[in-house]
Amino acid sequence: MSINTYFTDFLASIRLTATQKSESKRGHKTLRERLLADDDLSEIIVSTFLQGSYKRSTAVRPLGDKRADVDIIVVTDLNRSEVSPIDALEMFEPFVEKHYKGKWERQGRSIGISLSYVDLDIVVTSAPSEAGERMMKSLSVTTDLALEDIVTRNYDWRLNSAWLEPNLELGNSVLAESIRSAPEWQGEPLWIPDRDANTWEETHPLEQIRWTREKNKNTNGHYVNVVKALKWWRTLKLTAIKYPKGYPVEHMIGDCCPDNIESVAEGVVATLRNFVDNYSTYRNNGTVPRFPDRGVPSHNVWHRITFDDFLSFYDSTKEYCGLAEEAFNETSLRLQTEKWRDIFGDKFPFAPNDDDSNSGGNSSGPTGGFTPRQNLSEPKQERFA
Amino acid sequence: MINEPSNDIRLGRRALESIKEYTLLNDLVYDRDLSRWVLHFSIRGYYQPTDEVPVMTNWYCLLSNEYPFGSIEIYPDSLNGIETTFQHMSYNATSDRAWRTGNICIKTNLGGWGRNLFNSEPFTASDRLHWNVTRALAWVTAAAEGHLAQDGDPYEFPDIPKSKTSTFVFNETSEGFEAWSEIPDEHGVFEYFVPTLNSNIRVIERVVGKKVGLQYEWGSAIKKSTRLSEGRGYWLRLKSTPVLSPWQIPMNFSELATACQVQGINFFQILRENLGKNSLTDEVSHIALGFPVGQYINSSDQRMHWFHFEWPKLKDDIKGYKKGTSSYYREKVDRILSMQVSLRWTISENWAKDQLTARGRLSNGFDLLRFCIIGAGAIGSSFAELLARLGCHSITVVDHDIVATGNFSRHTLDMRSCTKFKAAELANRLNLIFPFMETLGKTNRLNWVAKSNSDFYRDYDIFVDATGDDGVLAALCSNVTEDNQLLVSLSINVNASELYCFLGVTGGDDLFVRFNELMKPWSAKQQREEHSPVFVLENVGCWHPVFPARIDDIFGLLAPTIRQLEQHFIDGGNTRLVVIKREETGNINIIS
Repeated sequence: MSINTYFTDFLASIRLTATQKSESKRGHKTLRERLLADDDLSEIIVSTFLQGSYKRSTAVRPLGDKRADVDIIVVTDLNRSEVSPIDALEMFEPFVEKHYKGKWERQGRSIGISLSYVDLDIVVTSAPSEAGERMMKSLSVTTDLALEDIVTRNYDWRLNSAWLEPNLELGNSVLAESIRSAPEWQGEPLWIPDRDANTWEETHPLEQIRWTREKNKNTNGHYVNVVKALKWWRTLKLTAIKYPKGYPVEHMIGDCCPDNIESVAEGVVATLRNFVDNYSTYRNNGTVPRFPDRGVPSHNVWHRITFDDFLSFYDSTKEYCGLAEEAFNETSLRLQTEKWRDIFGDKFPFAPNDDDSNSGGNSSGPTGGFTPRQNLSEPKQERFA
Repeated sequence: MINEPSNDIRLGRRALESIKEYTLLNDLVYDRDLSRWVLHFSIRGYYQPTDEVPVMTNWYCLLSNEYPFGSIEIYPDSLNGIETTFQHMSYNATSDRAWRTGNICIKTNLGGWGRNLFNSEPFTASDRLHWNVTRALAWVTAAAEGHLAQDGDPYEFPDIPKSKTSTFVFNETSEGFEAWSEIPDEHGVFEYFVPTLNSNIRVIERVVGKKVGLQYEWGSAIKKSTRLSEGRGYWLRLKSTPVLSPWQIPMNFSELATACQVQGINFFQILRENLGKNSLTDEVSHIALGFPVGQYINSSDQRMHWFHFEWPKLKDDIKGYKKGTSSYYREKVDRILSMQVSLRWTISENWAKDQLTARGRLSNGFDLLRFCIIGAGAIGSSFAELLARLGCHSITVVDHDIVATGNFSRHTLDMRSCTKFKAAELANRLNLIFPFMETLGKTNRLNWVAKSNSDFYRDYDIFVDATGDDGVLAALCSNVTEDNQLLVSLSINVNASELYCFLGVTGGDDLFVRFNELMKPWSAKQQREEHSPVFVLENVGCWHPVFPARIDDIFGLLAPTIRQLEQHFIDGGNTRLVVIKREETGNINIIS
């Protein structure tokens, strides 16, 4: 049983709230306007854009009081062989002091700004090539819309100069065939400060977005939801385990989730099973698997994960894999929802008890919802006027 | 702007997952034009599929944003849904949306298929949609197995998409149907008029054939109404409801001809021969189709019912035929019958008394009694209103007084009647309630009315004294003496906490003496408790005192008297006094 509507409603309660999304966009928009109005910085800025799980539609609501995190890339034309990452970041400090006094701090590779509902992480890049500059300025890069907002039956996101935003108000935009079939930019990695801002290192956020788009298409639109569901599980249930978390978990799901899944439930079960099966040898051999970054294959997304981390993560995943398979194969609707709730917590809705549901639906027999009732439900007060 | 379904809507459609026969095709989408959430699903049945009902049927369910309140409608999918019109379904045509117009009627508990299933529609978020979809499955099954309408089920007309609000009204009864069985005519002319009292109504007066002339009986208001216009139509008599199988009203001439053909009636031929022989085709505005119906399918009590549609007019006159000749008219009729137009059906209603009083009526026969109400004040007007709306069509009101605005705090009349006579105004008002009302107003004192008609005291079955006047009551007691007459006196005490309903059975003791005897304990009590009753003055400058009773008190005390009368009519009984008393707590007690 895949009980799709239960998963649909669970996902609706764990994705970013409308406020978080609109605040992310507003925060980015204001920041960009201020940057371009700044006399000093406007000289060096090529463009800005949102990246990260928000953009890929794989972000989940933070637990408790934590605010949502949004990454903003500020593309500069600073020559990376002349300017160090630390100096590049320092160039932005007067700006954030002026506009976000008391709300900002240096965080290794980025500058963090705390707004009311979201936290903005400014990551500064060095100069791209000329071709790269053109791409960075195009609407397909600078748009604030997330993948789920853009990709529908009639619309898509394309990394080319012709791409336009869909009209979300009307909701009936159709992507012209010429845009759909126009070739996409190859793109090139961007150079950002490493974790401690000592050196420049490569990253390829646009390739990650494109990879996600393709994977989502190949999974009947379920992939981003499988990611959200499993990220939620990881944060909620694996509290004793520090790493992996965030993007490394998403990347792993991307590698383990099979194509052509028919539902989120199926994707969750298959992803966990594939992880357990594919990496059992690593576990037994005492090594950590390698996950090459999309677009920068030399970069191992799991490079910070120790074997102890991996071991704990693997064993927990194996345990929950068993639970997920049980849930997926459960025939009683009520029991199935109970089991999913063991994995996803109480944001996953309960089904009513099979035998006392008010509508007489039985889970046994072909005439499931058709059996004349034995018990009357609460008689409704008849009122007339 | 509505973007996300509410938690209640989500819960409602999650609950559908427990229905084994149900499969979700497309999850909730908000349709801004219709302001509805749209759910697309399929149902798998366990019946033998038929040409019209396949095993898998697809449906669209439209939910109001106020779910679990608001509307829920279920329509067949245009592509893989039911394409014909069945019973308990709106006319099922294609539309400009993904679903057809045949909204299925699943809320009723009537009829064999509906009764089998549980209870009435629940209004909780988890249950309501589930109930509706389960009912839809039952409906589809009944449609496939051919028992959406069975013998003994209440008869239901096919749904008729109507283009106009104007309404044809006729008066067909079971007795009238017996007369129809004697009438050999199969078609003819009918005459109607539009009354001034309501320009949306077309009242049919006469139905005429070669051998028959039938005149409908109408009550005072319609009989006496002036006319805005008059018209004629042509009627045909059918053997049964004109439908295309299973239950679709014909929507053009060709479909109508087919539906008649099934009954062995050649619709085209009848119209050609009769409308096409003279100028009748120009004079006739509508065609009427009459057929027998009973309250239940195949029940024995039948009456005629009529459907009406506009007889189309040609846009241009025809050329090549000499005007006024029968070939000219014949050609006209032929052209009209071959027009590719939708039939414009009107609303057609049977205004027979038993059809109009279905919502609330008295025991058989009580409504046929002849009432005379003396006194058209607070009590008299309210009592008359109750009787009329319960279907008592024969009421005479006697009162000499004039209507004053101050009356309206506890009267049924309104400002339109000021300065006019109460009896006449009240009679007019009652006559306008129902088309069968025959109410008369006599503007005079009782003794004068009696003097001018020697049969007056014998002309009614029930006399109601609503004057509070001993003189009137005494006169009635002396003169209402025939067997099986009833003398009723209704009055209230000064603060309307007690209503005295005296039921006087004729042919026994002196009723006035009896009345006083029965009232004695109540009068004595009144003396003790209210020896200085407080009256109010009507208005500044007027010394005429009025009793201060409120309309809510009057209604509350008066309403139970109807049942007292009705019970007496059924069971009989002796002369007695029934006191309807309002306690200080507000409880109403009936003391007899």
